[in-house]
Amino acid sequence: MTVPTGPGVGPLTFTLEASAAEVRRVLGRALVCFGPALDEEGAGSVQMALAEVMNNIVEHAYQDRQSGPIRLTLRRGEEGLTCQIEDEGLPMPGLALPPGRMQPVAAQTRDLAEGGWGWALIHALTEELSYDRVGGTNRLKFRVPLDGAGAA
Amino acid sequence: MNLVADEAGGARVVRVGDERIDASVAIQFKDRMRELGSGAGPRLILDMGRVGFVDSSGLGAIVAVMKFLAPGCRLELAALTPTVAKVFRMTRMDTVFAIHAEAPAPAHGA
Repeated sequence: MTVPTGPGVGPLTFTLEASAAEVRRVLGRALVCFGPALDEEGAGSVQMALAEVMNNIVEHAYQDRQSGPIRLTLRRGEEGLTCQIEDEGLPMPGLALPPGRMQPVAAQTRDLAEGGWGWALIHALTEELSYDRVGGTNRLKFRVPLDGAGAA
Repeated sequence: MNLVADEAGGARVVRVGDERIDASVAIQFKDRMRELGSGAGPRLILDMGRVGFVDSSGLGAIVAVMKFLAPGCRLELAALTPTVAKVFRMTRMDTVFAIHAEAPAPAHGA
């Protein structure tokens, strides 16, 4: 992992090997670097969105191999935190963003889903969400609105 | 994973000592909760007061615990921090769990 130094507004790039433990570590570092520029709710939204995106990369993009690189670039702008996440794993199915509708809640406890919220959370927490496949790279971009403006 | 079980207010209370329930500990969390939930009465309250962050894997693990404790024991949650409460609200899992503002105090001063 490349560790940028100092607090501030970026842009800062974090490079990690895709694993749940590394995702946790980089989220912690990102919050140290950008925490001073975020309020508690903003920090929560940023952490939720980035965690879901990177966990998806670990679980799905690199499902056919041990691991691979993730590059996370963050920049604090006036409207929020602009995020770009790249990986070199499998492309999104259909080369398109997964839909973002929150699944319904099952009526019976035994039927409750134990996952499947990730993309709905990402869509709800972000603006200007876009996906591109560039050569062998997946590139996801979005902005997490901050200071009370925008989504969720 | 730091989980401590106690009895309080007629329920088993499990205090989560970790700051995160996420993809890197979800399986461990489920396994430990299976142990700590065995022999619990009708209610098990998960004290989340120290937990600042739950991702969808962590949320799924909490739902899984609710499912394997049922129907003999109901999983309830206490002391959700703001970001954790937001995840439950956004996924509507706040409609599935009884959520208490605070965990009951332990019977002996733990």
